Amino acid sequence: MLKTENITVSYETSIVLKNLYLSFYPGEVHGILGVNGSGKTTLFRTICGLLKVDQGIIAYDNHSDLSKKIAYLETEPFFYPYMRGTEYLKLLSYDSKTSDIRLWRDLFKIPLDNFIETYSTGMKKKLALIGVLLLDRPVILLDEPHNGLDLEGVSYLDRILSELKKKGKIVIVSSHIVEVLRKNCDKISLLHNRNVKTTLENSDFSMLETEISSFFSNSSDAIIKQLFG
Amino acid sequence: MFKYLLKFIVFRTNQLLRFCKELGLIRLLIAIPLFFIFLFFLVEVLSRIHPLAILILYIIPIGFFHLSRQDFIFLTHLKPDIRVLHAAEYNIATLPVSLVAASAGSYWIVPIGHLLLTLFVFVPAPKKFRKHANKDLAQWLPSDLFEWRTMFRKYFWTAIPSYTIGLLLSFHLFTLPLLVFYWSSLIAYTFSHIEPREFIEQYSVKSAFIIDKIKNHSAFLHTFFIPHYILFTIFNFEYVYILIPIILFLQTILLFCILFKYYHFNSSNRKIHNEIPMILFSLLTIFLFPVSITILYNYWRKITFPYHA
Repeated sequence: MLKTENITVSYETSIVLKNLYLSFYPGEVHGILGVNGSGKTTLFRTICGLLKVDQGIIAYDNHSDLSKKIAYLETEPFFYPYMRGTEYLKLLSYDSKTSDIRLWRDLFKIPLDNFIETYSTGMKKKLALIGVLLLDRPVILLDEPHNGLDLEGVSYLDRILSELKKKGKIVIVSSHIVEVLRKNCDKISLLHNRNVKTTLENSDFSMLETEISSFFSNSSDAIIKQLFG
Repeated sequence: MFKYLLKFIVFRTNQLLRFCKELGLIRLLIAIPLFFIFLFFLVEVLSRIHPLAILILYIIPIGFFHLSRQDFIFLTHLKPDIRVLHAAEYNIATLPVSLVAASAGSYWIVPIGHLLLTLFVFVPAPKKFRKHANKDLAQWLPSDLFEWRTMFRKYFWTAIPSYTIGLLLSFHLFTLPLLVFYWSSLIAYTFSHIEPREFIEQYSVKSAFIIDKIKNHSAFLHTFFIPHYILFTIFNFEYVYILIPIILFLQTILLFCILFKYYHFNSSNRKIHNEIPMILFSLLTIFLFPVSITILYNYWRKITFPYHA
């Protein structure tokens, strides 16, 4: 189990996450939903150890060293210049077979022998996703994985998430699109005002709309009416 | 683990070879000897200031690179420890410095330099410099200098200390040339990001956009360096003529970075990889100034050609 206990994270003087408690269980896809700037990426980066917590504990099976336990797909993944897709995957796939890379290539139809800078945004996203999956780590963090993917990619990703669940992985997926999470997740936590507003089980997803509508400013209707006359 | 480390080093070497291939044999035949001559010159100059000053050639380029790395997450995904990867990269990348230092007689500095680099990898990752932007300085700049705003936000802790140290050591003849050479890497970074296409499309003629850009950025850069120019003149009055090549060098580098960016402008990319081209161009500017002017002219012609993408 991965848990974040009472964590607070801040940038200079602004606190992004405050006294946050979350637990993630093996064999579960856990969604993190929130508006832009609600702290989804900060939470992911903190779990990865890229940001230091001001207070609190992050532990996986009671161990605080998570460095080789987590695979993290960034919203905008990094690629070196003059790098081929194959090289990227071979560097990441140290314990996987080369045949796996071929299968992934066939599934996502990525020209792995080409330089990555020639790829489209969606292809880059698919490549980074494959890299994360080849690592075969127990905790997988996917920060807005559906962004930039085409219809086919989205469909494959949904199936992949369900397979990861069967393999007993802890999968944490962030998005600001409700439908994407509703379809794939067993639990959804709503980030709002620097904390988890609520965590809903699959059976309570019908309450999502009500919970989300409370995020929005009361004045938004009036402003929209004023703008469009 | 050694197997995976080797795999990574082989990839980095391939990357360099691909870049060299793109550059072309003729350019390489010119650039490599120039690079070593320049390195030899720097080693000579620094060893005259103080024998240990040669260590600057290990620490400053690698320090700048280390603090500006963006591959942290990728490297944490690899099997070897990130510090092992950094140490291997830095020690291999500085082999030319060791070669030149040893051939110039300062062979004793080589193990010290490599030891320092190996210790340097334990310097905490630069994450706090990236997220803790210095908004005050950045906001003080006009919005049309947004490239400089980004640079100061990201590299405040390398830009301002180097600028200040330069002022404090301005009594030394070599301070300004070295500072300008160091700042050329910051200029390269400044113009390595792509802005939205709409910024350019506000101008009906692309050349007008580029000219405006050159004017504004030249005015800013030279105004920013005026304290250095004044102190250099005061402390090194007998060598004041050196200011002309220094200012020309700075201006040429700025022109190159701007023109290179808009020559490679492509709204689907976010970043232009101009670091190595800029290093080669700066070497050309030092040793073969007319060639660098020709390169600038060619870029200008291609950018402003109406059917260029």
